Amino acid sequence: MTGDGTPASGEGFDVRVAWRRDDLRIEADAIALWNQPGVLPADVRPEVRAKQLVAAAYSGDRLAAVATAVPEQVNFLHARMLVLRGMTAPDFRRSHAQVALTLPVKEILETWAAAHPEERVAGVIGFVEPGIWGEMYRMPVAPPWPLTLVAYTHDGLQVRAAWFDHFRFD
Amino acid sequence: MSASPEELIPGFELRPAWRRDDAQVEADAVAFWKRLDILPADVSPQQRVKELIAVAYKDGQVVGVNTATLERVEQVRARLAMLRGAVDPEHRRTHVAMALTLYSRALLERWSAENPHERLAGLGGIIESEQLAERGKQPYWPQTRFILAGFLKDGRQLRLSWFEDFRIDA
Repeated sequence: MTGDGTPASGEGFDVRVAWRRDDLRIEADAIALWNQPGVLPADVRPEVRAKQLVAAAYSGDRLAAVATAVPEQVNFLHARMLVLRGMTAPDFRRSHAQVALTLPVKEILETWAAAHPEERVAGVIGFVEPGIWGEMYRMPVAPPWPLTLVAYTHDGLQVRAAWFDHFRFD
Repeated sequence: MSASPEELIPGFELRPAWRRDDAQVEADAVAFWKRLDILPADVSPQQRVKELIAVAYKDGQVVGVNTATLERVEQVRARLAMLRGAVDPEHRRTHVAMALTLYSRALLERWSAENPHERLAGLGGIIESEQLAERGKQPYWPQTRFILAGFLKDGRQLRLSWFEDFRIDA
C-alpha cells in the first residue's frame, strides 16, 4: 500500500464471483461506487447494472473494481455476445485491480455460456477508449484473454471481441 | 496442431514467392491456373502472379497457390494482406491449404517486421469456399489465428489474423 492508501501495482486482490448470484453485499458495494458523481451515464440505473455484475475485486473490505456483462445481439457479428464493462474505483486506478478480474471473468462467463447453450451466447465484446489501456490499446490482440480488435465504432472506440471456444454457428 | 507447414504435407514442397519475381515459380503458377481454369475472366495471370505469396509443389507440379493484395480495411483501420488460396481438387483432402496458409502467414509476418514502413498489420480473408462451410461455423481458428470479424452483405465472412508484433498507431 502506498502512502495515500492506494494499492501498489501487482498487489493481490480478492476476486469475488457475482454472476447471477444476487449477492447483495457485492451489489451494494458496486452501487455505492456507481453512485459517485459522473461514474455512470445519467440514463443507467445502478440497481439494473448491479444485476449484470460478473465479479468484483476487493482489497480487504474495499471494492477496487467490478466487471459487468449483458447479453446483446451484435448485428455485425451475427451473434449474441456478452457486452463487457469495467469500472475501477478512483483510489485504485493505478493498481491492477481490473487486470486481476480479467481471467476470472473469462472463466466465469465461458463456463456459464457452455452450461447454458439455450442462451446462444457466442463470446464477449468490449469497447475501448484511447488512453484507457495504455500500451495494450496498441496491441490488436490484447492479452491475457485475449481480446481482439475487430472494428471501430463511429466515434472512434475500439471494438474488441473474444469468441468462446465451444461456440459454433448453426 | 504444432507441426510445421512442411511437416503437415510430407511429399510436398513449399516455396516462397512473395516479391521475388521468380520466373519459374510464376510460370508454374500460371500453368496451374490454366490447367484448373480457375481464374476469373477479368483477371490476368500475369497480374496475379505478382501477388503470389507461396506455392505448393508435388512431383514438380504446382498443386496449390496463395496470393494476396495489400488493402486498407476500414473496419479495423489497418492495412492487411487479403489472402486468396487455390488447391488442386486432387489434393484437397490433404493439408495443402492449411500448410500454405501457415507458411504464407509466417512469410508475410517476417516481411512485415523487416519492412515496418509498409504498416502491414496482418492477414485478412473472405471466406467463400464451400469447402470451408463446416469450418466456418467455428468463429476462431487457432492454428492460423483467423478470427471472425464480420460479414459482407452477401453473407461471406470477414476474418482477420493479426501479426503478433504489429502495433496500432495511438
